[in-house]
Amino acid sequence: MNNIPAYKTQLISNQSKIQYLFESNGINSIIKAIEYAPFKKQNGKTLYNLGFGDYDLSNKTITDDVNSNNGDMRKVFSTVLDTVPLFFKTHKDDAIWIQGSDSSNSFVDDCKKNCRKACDLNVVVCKNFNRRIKIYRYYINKNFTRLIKEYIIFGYTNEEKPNLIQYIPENEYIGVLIFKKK
Amino acid sequence: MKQKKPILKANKTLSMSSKTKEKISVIANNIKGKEFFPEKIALAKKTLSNLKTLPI
Repeated sequence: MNNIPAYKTQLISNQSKIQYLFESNGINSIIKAIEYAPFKKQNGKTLYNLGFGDYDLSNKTITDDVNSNNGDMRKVFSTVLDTVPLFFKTHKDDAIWIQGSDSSNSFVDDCKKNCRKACDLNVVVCKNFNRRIKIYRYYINKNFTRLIKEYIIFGYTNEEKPNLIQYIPENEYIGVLIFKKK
Repeated sequence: MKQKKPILKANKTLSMSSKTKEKISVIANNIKGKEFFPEKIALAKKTLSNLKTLPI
């Protein structure tokens, strides 16, 4: 069980996509969205992308590339995690794919243009690259022994020949695939 | 026998005010039927495009 309180979520779609909204009550009130969207079928199983972001009041869309710094990150993260058991309740054979929007190869090029973290561009180190997946990996690494009692976890490597392999804590992955154990 | 709660389930859920429920209901209507993160879906498809079989 997760000891960090979670915000109450409102299920707004339970069709092919599963979508939730909730309010983050930190420094400001921000409506946030969680989405499980199917994107690939393999071996009779459907892979769902877990997406998470803020509702932008000005253009009425959801954006996942801002850091809202609302002072309640732990509660927000706990809220996202809280929806995972709900997902597997109705999608026992399917899997959840997690990859940050800052894990794409084009992200580093875009980030360099407005770099505010004094990254060493000569050695192509971008401090913002993979930041989001690192939050998930940190949680998995910290709770690995408990998590593997309920879930089967794979990590996607970012090597020359990328591969989906059994998750080993502390190793680097750009994406994570999670199945529920039967 | 009491069933053990899943590890990822939060032990406490913070309540939602009726004002928030109303706000969410309006937003839900605005974004009804939309895909929230089309770029993330494209990225996921691209990342796993070479995946021929699942490791499970």
